[in-house]
Amino acid sequence: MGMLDTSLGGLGKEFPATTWGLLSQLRDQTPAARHPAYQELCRRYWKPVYCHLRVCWSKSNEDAKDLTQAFFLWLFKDGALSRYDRQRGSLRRYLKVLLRRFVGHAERALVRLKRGGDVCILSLEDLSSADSLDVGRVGPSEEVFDREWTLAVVAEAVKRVRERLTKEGRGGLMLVYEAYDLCEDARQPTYAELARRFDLTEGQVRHQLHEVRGAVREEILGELRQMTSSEQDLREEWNALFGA
Amino acid sequence: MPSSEPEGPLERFRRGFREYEQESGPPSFHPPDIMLGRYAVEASLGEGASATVYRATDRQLGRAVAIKVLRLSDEFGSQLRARFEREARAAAALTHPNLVVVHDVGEWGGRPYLVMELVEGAPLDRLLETRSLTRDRMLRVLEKAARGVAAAHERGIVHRDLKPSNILVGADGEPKVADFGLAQQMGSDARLTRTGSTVGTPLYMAPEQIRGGGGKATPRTDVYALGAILYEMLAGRPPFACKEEVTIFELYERILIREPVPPSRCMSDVPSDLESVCMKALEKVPELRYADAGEFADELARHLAGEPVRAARLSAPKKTYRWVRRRWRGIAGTAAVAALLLGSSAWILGRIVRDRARVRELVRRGDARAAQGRHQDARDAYRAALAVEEGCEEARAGLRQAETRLRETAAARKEAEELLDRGRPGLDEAFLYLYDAGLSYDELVRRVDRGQALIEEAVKKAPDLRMGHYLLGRAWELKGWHDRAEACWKKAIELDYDFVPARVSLARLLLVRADLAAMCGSLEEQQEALPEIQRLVREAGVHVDIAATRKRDADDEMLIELVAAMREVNNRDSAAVRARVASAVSRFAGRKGLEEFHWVEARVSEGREKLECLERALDLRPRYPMVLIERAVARLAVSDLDGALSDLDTAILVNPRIAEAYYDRALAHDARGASAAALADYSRALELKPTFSMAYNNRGVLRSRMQDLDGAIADCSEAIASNPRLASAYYNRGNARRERREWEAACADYDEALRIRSGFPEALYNRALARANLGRFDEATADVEKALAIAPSGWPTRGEAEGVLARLRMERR
Repeated sequence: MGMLDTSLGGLGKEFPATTWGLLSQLRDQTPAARHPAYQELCRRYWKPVYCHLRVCWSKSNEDAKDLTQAFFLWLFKDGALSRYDRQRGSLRRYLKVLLRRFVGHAERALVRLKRGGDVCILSLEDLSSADSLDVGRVGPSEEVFDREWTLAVVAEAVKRVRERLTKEGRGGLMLVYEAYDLCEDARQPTYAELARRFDLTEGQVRHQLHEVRGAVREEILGELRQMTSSEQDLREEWNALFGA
Repeated sequence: MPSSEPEGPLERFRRGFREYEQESGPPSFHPPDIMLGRYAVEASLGEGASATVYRATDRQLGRAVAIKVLRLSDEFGSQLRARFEREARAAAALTHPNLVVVHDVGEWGGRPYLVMELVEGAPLDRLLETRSLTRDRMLRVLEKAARGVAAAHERGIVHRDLKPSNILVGADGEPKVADFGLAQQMGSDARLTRTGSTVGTPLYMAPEQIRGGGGKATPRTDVYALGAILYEMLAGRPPFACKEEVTIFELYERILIREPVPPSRCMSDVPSDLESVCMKALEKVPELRYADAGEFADELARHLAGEPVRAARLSAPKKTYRWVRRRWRGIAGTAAVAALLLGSSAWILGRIVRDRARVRELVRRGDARAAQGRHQDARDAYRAALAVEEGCEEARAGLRQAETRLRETAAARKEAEELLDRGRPGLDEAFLYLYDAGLSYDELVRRVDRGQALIEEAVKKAPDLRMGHYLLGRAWELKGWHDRAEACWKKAIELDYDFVPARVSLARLLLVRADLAAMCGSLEEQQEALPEIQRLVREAGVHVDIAATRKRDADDEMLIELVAAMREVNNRDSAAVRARVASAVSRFAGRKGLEEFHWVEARVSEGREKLECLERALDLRPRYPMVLIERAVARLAVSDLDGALSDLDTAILVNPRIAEAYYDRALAHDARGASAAALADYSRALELKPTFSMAYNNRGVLRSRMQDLDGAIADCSEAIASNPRLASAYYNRGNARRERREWEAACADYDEALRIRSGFPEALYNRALARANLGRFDEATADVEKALAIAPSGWPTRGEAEGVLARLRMERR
């Protein structure tokens, strides 16, 4: 078992007071308890919604932002997530269905949103990248949401692994990983270049990459496990997002 | 990379995963092993307000289990954790096919958890909600569940939180009752729920639980809950559940005051005998319910077998009856006429008569409770009577009187509490005086008496005030009256089962008595005192185990630790004792009472080490009689008679009420040949402790040596009366009888001594002498031969016995 492999919820993890984590809070009956969970959900998954609206519904940047805002607000007000049942498919699919239904009534939702003067629960961070979304590049419309969803899942997993390693005083392990697997440059560096850059041997580079990849994979599996109901569902969701 | 398009971030990321997969294999979609000790947690089975239940596998035994992990607020955390563990362990001792087996308890990350048998099925509440069982099936389930509860009642364990969700019905249809012993932790304890975040459902709670305070949960409390479940089965909802919103206090009030609507008013097809069983189980006054779950189960079994139930039968037409009942006072005189007009005279009259009988019984019960001074119970009985018949004048009068008495009692309690506040400093002062190097008994008594007079007055004013009895016990203990202290503390516990100070003080006292008993006599004699010692230790253990699960303060904590160490002494686990003492010394440094830990350590030490422990104790409390006695016994063992006598003189000076001190001093006097002084001390020991068998025995030996054979025989007989297993007393009486040439009687005593202790060479040899005088040479020869065979090589009588054997062989020839 690698150092980042988990036992009892993994390093630094809480005991699973509920296997439902965020989703169980989203289903809480009291708005005060639900609100932080919604904010967290928005923080993680606003982007797939936004991109889906831009690409599939051909909304402008401003309209897509408004609608994204309205969609999450609607989820919060309507309590739609409290009706989510894992047995009926992954959260990703459920949100896609909700989104389709929502956009159908978008105009009404927007009017209500404006008239009610509701607070904005959504802070659309990283808007610069959303503004510059290359609509033409994201591929067939059905894939947009899934692709952004996958990126959101990955971003969350990487964030958690980074936090955990930093807490353990091993944050340095992330440097190699970020420079290689998360490299956004057109050309990916070689192991030899990374070894030189971080004053390591190539073996150490390989080893560190291996360790962090394992940890990220476990995090992602944990996240997906929360959004699926069985081993089979989990396998399907994994293959849909990360399969070849 | 052979690609015309630049690789996007997600592709790069995925490629990283593929590389990882080649090195480490594909991901496992199995849930990760979440290990709680040896249990691999697999899935959540459900979440409640205060706990989550998981399905898990016991890796050691390879069996599926359910694990309940508690969420406790910090406020109650440490106390409840200990209590949870102890009560769960008690529940784990229960085995019955209709009880969920508790396999294990533990703690993970500060959260207590309970490992239980996994019941594949559904909780009864779900089955009731979906109406998925026929009525007979439901009744069978409830009957079996009640049998499980009955098994717990037989062991003195009350569930306290029975409700449909705690009855799990397995796939085979067998019900199993869960969460025994957990009610206090899981939110049924009124004290906790009022301050805690979640209020458990009170719909199945008996009135006495809602009242809380002195009202203790008994098997009848569980009978009420079973009745409430039966009610739900018959009426489709629990008693007092209603559609409109009510506050929790309104609900409490309903449970306390109102009679439940008979189930037949909610459902038309309710058999009248079942309704009777249900209503009897739901009586407000516990004594009117079935005594325990067993009786309740028997009634259900009778109904299922088509036999008549024992509870009074009900029959139609109920509406008319109720109308009559409501107006009972007004129409009593014309009831017969009204009934005839309605065409149901016999039934109505019968029911009225039964109700009158019930009201009379309740009023009688109320009067009896009032006469016993149990005014709260009396009040409940009168209230229950009024619930049946609002206009009952006797019940009204009784209720008024009970309420007046309760008010008076409250006033008396207040006065008593003030007296206790004034008396307590006297005791505290006397307690500190125990540490005075010049401690004298007379001065101690004078100081104690100052407080004790006020405390006694308080106890007279409010005899049901636990604190009064507890403080009185402390006063008696300070003065050395252990028996009286014990009685007072037992009374305090009787008044409040959970009263920790009385429990721990009593436990300590019992263990002191066990220690004193263990200090007396030779090893064989100690063996004979063993049953008594074990009884004392067991009883102390019960008190301290209960105390350790209740709320307690720092003083109680120290006493609990002390008692725990004392118990280890009796388990002969010296390493455990030393560890506890070392921890206590650092934990309670500078506190009064620490000397007792050194004394306890001395009990498991030998020689110089033992003396050092005792010295440490005496440094802290120079005239601590128990330590002085212990040192005297150690000095006696090495024939330091002067030292022993000096210690015992001091011990007796500062506490002239310890029988064992006189007994030990008598031994020292006897060893010096001061027979008269020894005789006086044995006699004083016997005055203080008339059941002191070893003191009788030793005085008998002394009297025998002083040629007072009648006195010797009388003393040995007394010793035997107090402890029929005391072989040496039979032996000594045999010797005295032999001196008087009563050979047959002597032989009978030796027989008895040998029956109790077969390896007793002296008894064999002396029986041989008696038998020889009766001309039974063969038997005598056999006795001597056996005595020589079993006696140790240095047996002082060996030479003499060999001479006798030679002579006996000659006689036989």
